[in-house]
Amino acid sequence: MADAFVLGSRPVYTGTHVTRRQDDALLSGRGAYVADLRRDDMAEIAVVRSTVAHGRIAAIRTAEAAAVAGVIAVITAADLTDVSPYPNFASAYTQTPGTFPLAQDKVRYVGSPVAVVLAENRYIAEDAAELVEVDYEELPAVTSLEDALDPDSPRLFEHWPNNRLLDLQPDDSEAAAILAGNRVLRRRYKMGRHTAMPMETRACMAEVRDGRLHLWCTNQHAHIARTTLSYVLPMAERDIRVVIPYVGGGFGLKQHLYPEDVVASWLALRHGRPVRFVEDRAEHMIAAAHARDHMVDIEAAIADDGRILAMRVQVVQDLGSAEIFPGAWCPALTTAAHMTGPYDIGHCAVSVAAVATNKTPGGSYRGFGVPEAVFALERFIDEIAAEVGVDRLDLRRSMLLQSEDLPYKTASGALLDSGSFAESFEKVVELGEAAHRRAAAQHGTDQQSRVGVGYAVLFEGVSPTHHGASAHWAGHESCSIEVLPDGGVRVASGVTDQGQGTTTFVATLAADALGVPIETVEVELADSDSTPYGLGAFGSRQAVIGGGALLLAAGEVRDKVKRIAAHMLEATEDDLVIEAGRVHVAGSPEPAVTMAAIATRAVIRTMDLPPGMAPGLEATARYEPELMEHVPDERGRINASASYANAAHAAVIRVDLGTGEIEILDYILAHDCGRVINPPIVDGQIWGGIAQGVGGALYEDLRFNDLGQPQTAFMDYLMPSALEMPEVVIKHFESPSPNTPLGMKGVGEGGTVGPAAAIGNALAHALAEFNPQIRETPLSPAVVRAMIPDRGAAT
Amino acid sequence: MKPPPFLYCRPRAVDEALAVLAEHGDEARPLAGGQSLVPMLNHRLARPGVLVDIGAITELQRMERRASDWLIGATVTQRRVERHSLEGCELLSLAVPFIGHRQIRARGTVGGSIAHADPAAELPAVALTVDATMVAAGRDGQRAIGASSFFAGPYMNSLADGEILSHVIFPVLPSTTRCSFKEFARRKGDFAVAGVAAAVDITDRVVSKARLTAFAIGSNPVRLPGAEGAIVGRSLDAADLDTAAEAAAAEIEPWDDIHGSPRYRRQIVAALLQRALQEVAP
Repeated sequence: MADAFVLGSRPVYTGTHVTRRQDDALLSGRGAYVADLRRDDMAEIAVVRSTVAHGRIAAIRTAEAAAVAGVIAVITAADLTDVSPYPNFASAYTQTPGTFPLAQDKVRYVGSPVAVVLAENRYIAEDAAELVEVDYEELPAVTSLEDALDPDSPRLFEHWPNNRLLDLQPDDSEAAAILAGNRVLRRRYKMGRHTAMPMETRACMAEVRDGRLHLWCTNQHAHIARTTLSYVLPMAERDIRVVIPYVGGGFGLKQHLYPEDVVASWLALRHGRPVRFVEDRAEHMIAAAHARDHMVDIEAAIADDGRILAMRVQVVQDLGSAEIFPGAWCPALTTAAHMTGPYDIGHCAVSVAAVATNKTPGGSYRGFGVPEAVFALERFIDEIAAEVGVDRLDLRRSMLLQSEDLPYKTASGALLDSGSFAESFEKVVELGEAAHRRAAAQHGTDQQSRVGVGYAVLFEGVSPTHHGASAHWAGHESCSIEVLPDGGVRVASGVTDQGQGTTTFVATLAADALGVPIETVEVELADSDSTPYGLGAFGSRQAVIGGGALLLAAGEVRDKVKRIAAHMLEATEDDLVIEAGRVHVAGSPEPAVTMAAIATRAVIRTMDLPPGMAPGLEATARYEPELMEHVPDERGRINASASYANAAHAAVIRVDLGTGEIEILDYILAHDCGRVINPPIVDGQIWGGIAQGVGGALYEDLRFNDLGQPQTAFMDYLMPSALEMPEVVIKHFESPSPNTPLGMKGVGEGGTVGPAAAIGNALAHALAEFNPQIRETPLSPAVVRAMIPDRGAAT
Repeated sequence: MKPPPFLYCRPRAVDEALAVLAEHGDEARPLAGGQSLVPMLNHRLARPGVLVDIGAITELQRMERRASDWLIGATVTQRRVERHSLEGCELLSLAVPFIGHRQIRARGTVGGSIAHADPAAELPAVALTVDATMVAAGRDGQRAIGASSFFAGPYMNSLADGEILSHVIFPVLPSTTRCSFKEFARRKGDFAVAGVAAAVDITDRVVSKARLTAFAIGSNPVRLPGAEGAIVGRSLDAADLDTAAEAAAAEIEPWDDIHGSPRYRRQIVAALLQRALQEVAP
C-alpha cells in the first residue's frame, strides 16, 4: 500500500529547510487576519454574557440597548426561531447538552452568550450591551469534577440522570484478578485547567453575496465548519462558503464552531450587511474553549522489582458546561488510550467519565488528553521506584518496548508499528544525567536551592480519526492538483494553516512528487469553494493524511505527464525522469520536454495528445489510512490513530527553597516523528509545544471560586514568555512508519505532552529529602513552597 | 474591551490642567503614561468623562539634581530614570528595571505609578523606604506630602480633588547607605507577588539605621519596624538575618490572592529580606 506514496524523482526539497511561505507576509505585517477584513457597510457585534455560573433566565430586557443610536438589532435565543441546536451524533453513548448558540432558559457558565447587540461598530455595540438587563434566578453551581461526580450534586441538565455526559465502564475482570493476587499501589493525579491562548483570538466575518453566505473565520476546518453551519442554519450547504484567512494560532481551540460564528452568520442573513465579530481577550478568557482539568486514578499490581503487571484506571474529565461543538469528551478517551505508555503492560482496564460543571466548556487543545496520561503514568512510575526501592531509570528500562517488540498492540488497542522508545530514552538519560551533574556542580553548595532531573518517555497517537470527537466525521483528507498550460502547478487541499507551516509542506511535497521547481507550485487551502472536502487541522494529522492524499493525486498527474512526454520524446515511460520541470530519459538530460510543453498539449493542443488520451492534466485524490479505526471494539479497544510518534523528555531544574520557584536549567527532548519534511518547522513545533507544556506544568491556571466565578484574568494567566523558556536541546530519531505515506508521523503535539511529567519528576528528585507529594499541576511556586519545611528554607 | 465615550484634552501648562480638572470635578481624570489607566478604561473599570492628558506639560518633565535631592517631574518616564543612573538614588535605580517590560517603562511615568498606588508597584515602595516627598499642585499652589501619608489604600492616594501630582523629591542618600531591592514575580515583568526594599546605613561594620519595606502584600507598601529594630546595632550575620526575616514575617498582614496565601507571602518576604540583607551586609 505504502508503495503508492512515493516522491517522483530524487527529492530536492523534502527533508531540507524550505523557507516558510507565509513568513514574508506575516513578518512584514501584510498578512490579513479576520480582524483586518473590512467592508464599507460592515457592522459589528458585542455579546452579552452570563454573569452567573448557573441560573434560570427570568427576563431579558433589551429595549434600552436597542434605542442606542447606531444599534441595528439586539437579539436573544427567542429570535433565532429558524436555528437548530448543534447536533449530537454520539447520543448512543453520551448525554446531549442540546447546545444552542444563545442561552435558552438557563445559563450554565459565566460567559455563556445570552444576547447579542449588532451595531455600527464595536464601541457602540459594547455601550449598548451594557444596557441589556438580564434577571437570573440563581442556582447552586457545580464547580469541580469531584462535585459533579456526586450523585446529589445539582444537575446542569434536568433531562440527564446525573452530571455525567459520558460514563464508560469496560470489563476490568482480567486486571482485577491480577490486582487481587499482587501488591497494589494506588495514586491519584490531577492536571489543572488551562487553555491554548492563541495570539489571535477568535473572529469571524459573515457576508451575504448573491444569496450565498460567505463566512471568513478562524476555524481550523473550512469544510466541517460549512457542514455544521448547514446543520444549524436554515441554509443549504451549497449556499455556504467558509474561508479561513491568516490565523494566529489554533492549537485545537479553534476546532470548535462557536456560537458567535452562527449568530454573526444569522445576523448577516437577516440584515443584509456584513457582520464581524472579533473576540476580545477578556471574552476569550471565559468563552473560548478551556482544556485539561482531568483526574486520573491508578491502581496497579506491582511485581517485586516494581514492574507494572496490570492497571485499573479511572479517568475523569471536567467538561465545564459541555455546551460546545464538537463535544469535548474525546480527550478523556485519548487519556485512556495512552495509559500504558510505551511500556509492555499487558493488562490495563480504563473507565472513563466526563462530567458537566458550571465552568467554561472544555474543548480541544494541543496534546488532547495525552499530557494527562503521561503526567499520571510517569509520575506513578517514579513513585513506584521510590516505594519499592528500585532505580527509576532501570524500572523504565525493564518495561520499555524494544525495537524487537514491534509491531506491538497496546492493551488499549493502539498499534505501535515503529518507534525508538528505548533509544530516545537512553539518549535523553545520557544528556540529562550530564546536565544534572553540571547543575549540581554549579549550584550544589547553594543552601537556598536544590537541583534535580526528571524524565518522561511517551508515545502519542497522531493522525487520529475525528470520529472519537464528533461521532460523525472519520479520517480522510483530500487533494486536487492541476498543471496549468505554462507548467505551473495549482494544488488545492482540505488541510488548513494556522501558522504552523502547512502551506509550506504542501508545496514541498508537491514539488518533489511532480519534479518541478517549488516556485512554480501555488497552494490553495481553506476555502470551501475552491478546495476539495477535507477535515483540516487536528491531531497532528495534516502532513500524514493530507500528504498521503497529495502523493496519490501527484502520482496520477505524474503518470500522465510521463505518458505524454513519452509520446513527445518517442521514448518509453519507464525510462523517463522528471527533474526541475523537465522530462527526459534517465541519464541523458537532452532531449527533454518541459512541463509547460506537456501541459499545453494536455489542455490546449489536445489534438497532439497520444491517440485516445483524454484531455487535461489534473487529479483529485482522497486518502483515509486503512489501519485507522473509528469505533472501539466491545472491550473499548481501538487503534484510533494512523500512526504513533514517540518522544523522551528530560528536565533539569533548580528549586528556590525560599520562594518555591522552579527554574528550568536544561530541557532535553528526543523526538521521533518518522520521516522529517522540514527540519526547522519540526524544531519549531517542538519548541512551541514545550512552551505550552511548560505553561501547563508551572504557570497557567484557570481557577473558579465556589460560586463558579472565574478567578483568572488575562493578567493572571501566565503563559511562559521567551524569558521563562530554557534553552532546549532537541535530538531527532527517524523511525519511519511502514504504514504511512513516506513513513511520516505527526509532530504537532509531542513537545506539549511531556513537560508536566518530566518537570514533576525533576521536582520529586530535587526535593527528595522532604518526600513531597507531586500529583497535581500546575506546580506553582506557592504549591512547591508548601512542600518545603520552613527549616529547609533557612540559610 | 472598548472604553465608553470620553472627552480628551491635552493642556500645555499645569494651570490649564488644573482648570480643566476643576471644571469637570469627579468626571475628570489625569492621564500620564496610561499604562494602568488605559487598560482600566478598556475594561470599563474606570469611566471618566474627561481625560486630561498631562503628557504635554513640559514643567512636569523636569529631572534635576539639587543640593541634597533629586526632583523628578510627574511625567518623567521610568525608562528615562533607568537610563540615567541617578547618583545617590541607588534604590530607585535598582527598582525601576522590575517595572513591567522596557516598552511599558518607556511610557510609564514615575508620577503615574506613584499616584496610581498599585499595592504591587515598585515606586511607592521605594518612595516609602527613602522617605520621598510627593508635591501636589492645586489651584491654591503646591503642598508637600510625605510618603508615609501619601498612600491611602489600594489604588488610593491622598491628593485632594482637583490636585495633580507635580513632582517627587527623592533624597540623595549618604554613601554609607547600602540598598537592595528584591521582588518575586511569577514571570519577568509581572507584578510582584511580594517584594522588599532595603536602605541600610552601615557604620563601623554595624547597622546604624535601617529602613526596610515590604510591598505587594497588602493595601500599600509597609515599613517593617520589627525587622528594622532587629538589625540596628548588628553586623548582619546569619543569625541576624534569620531574626530579621522572622520579625518581618510576623509583623506583616499579607492578603490572599490567586498567586499566594498569607502564609506563602510571609515565607517569601522572609526569604527576600534575608537575601536583601545578605547583599547589604558589611
